[in-house]
This record gives sequence, structure tokens and C-alpha cells, in this order.
Amino acid sequence: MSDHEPRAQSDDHGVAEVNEALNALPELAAPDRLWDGVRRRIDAAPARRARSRFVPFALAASLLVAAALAVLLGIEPADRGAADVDIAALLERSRNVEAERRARPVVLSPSGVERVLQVRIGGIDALLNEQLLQGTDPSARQALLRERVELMEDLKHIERYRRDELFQQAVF
Amino acid sequence: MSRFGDIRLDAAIVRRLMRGERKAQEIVYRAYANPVYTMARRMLRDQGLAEEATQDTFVDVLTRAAKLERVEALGGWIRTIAVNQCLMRLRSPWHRRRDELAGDEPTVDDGPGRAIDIDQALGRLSGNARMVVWLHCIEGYTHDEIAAAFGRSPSFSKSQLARAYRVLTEHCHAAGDGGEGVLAGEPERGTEDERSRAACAI
Repeated sequence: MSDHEPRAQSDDHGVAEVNEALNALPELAAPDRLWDGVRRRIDAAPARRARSRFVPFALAASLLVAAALAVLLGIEPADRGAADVDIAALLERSRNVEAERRARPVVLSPSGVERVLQVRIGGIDALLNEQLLQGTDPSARQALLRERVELMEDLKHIERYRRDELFQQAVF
Repeated sequence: MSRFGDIRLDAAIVRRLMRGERKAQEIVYRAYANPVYTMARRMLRDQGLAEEATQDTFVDVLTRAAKLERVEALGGWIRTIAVNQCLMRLRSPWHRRRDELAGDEPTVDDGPGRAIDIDQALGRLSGNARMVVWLHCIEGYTHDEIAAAFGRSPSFSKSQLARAYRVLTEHCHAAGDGGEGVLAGEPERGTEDERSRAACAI
């Protein structure tokens, strides 16, 4: 018999007892109210899915409005300058992010954070529309467009993260 | 304690679930809610998080049931979703910080004695180690399956499990000093400091 055997036997015995104790843990009752919450959420799910189908189209439409705004406000030669160059670059980035998002269709209903980002993007689009009507300086347009691009990129990253999570779940 | 694999549902119920029938959804929820909640509560050690994980699990299950490929796979599928919901929460930086700050008080009122000892011991493990122990001992996962769930190698699962067993055994020995603990009768190994170091090492 080797010197290690008594210790190994003791360890095996300990593991067996731990297993037994774990398996003897009582089952816990899920609170009754959870079912009501689940039911409410699955009832709401189809409506959310239906709304979420329109989100990409709404965002694309908003982007077109923003692009039209930038073009319309930038037609005066006097307005052209460094800010316009930046606006053009921002619009290009915005188009690229949109294209990347379109290439990977949304497969999940939007989470709370995604909805907040979508609302903020919508708010910026509304401000850009106001600018179209009232006419404002290029630096304000530039700031709004920059914020819009950053929000769009955040949204793209979150969507990709959630899609990867879903993919991992499906694979496992 | 009932495990996911122990629960048997009529195939007709599962088919009705896949068609989205409300009554079948409720039957499936009632059958699996306690195992899902028990795992979430023991692993996350927070009632609010456990309730949230349970709800999210069933929202996923009930809204995606139509995609289930085999009727008999329902239990394993629900368990997989529940495990992923728990892992998602355990991986969050907020939960890790909370885990570091938490003491080793039992989070569940299990009554006196044995159950409290092992629950306290579970509380001394890191979230990952707790999950590995649970999946292996209660749900019967193999090391390969645990590795796949964590996105790590099987040796990660083996080392986590070995160290977790050491901590659990030592903690329960210490608790057994009064003669009523989980592992009463076994010789105690190591000082209190050594046990704490072992617990922190996991």
C-alpha cells in the first residue's frame, strides 16, 4: 500500500459526503408572482417583435433625412470648410455603420439599453430636422451628427454582443 | 431535490407548448420553475437576481419553444438556457464585485444543520467554482460539457472542481466540529488561515 492511499481514501470519502450533502439540499419554491411576470412578458413579446421590425427602416429613413439636411445646408460655397469636411466624414461613417447593421439582421427584440439608444438617435434626428427648417451653423450639425454616429456604433456593438450570446446558447 | 432530467412531461403537452398554447406553457412553467429557481438562487446567492434569471429563462423557453427540435429534449434545453442565464449574471462585473464583498452567511433559509453548512460552504466559493460544482454534482454534467458551457478547456472544469471540493470538505469538517456538521467524524485538516487561503484561492 502506498503512503498516499489513506489520504486518497479520506479525500474520496470527503468528496462523497460533499456530494451527498449537495444532493440533500432542499428544493426551493419559485415565488408565485414569477409566473405572472413571465406571462406578461410573453404576451408583450409579439408586439415588441412587430415594432422592432420597423426599427431598421425608421433608422434608415432618419439617416436619409439627416443626409439630405447636410446636403441642403452645405450647398452654399461660403459654408464649405473644415466643418463640412468633418460632416462628410461623419456621414460616411454613419452610412458604413448602417450598412454593417443591415448586413447582420436583428434577431432579438431590443433590450432596454438598445431601446434607449434608439430613442436618443430618434431625438437627434428630430433636432436635425428642426435645423433643416430653421437653419443653424455647421458646427451644431457636426456635433449632432457625431453624437448620432457614436450612438449608432454603440447600438451596433450591443446588437453584435447579444447576437453572439444567442449564437453561443444555440451552439451549446 | 428534483433535477431537470428527472421531470417527465407528456409529449402531447410539449407539442402543445410548441404550438404556443397558454395552458401548456403554464404546465411546463410549473414543472420546471422550482429546479430553475433553485439553481439560480444557490448559484447567484441573491433573491432578486435569481427571480430575474428564472423569469428570463422562461420567457426565452416559452417564446422560442416552436424551435425545439425533439420533444424529449425539453428538459435539457430548459436547463441549458437556465445555466446560460446564471453564467451571464455571474460574469457581470457588478456581480463579481458583489461576490467579493459578500460574506459566507447562508442566503437561503434551509432550516438547521446539514443544509446550512453546505450552503455556507458554497457561499465561500467563487461564482464559477459554485457553478462547476453544481453542474457536476447535481446536474451530472461531464467536464467536457462544463468546459463547453464556460467556453474553457476541460482542465479548467477539473481544477475548479478539485479546489472547490477541497474548500467544501474543509469547511464542512470545520462546521462538523460540534458533531452535527456535514462531515462530522472526519479529521480536520489545516488551520483557519489555511482554510481561508484555500477558499480565496478558488
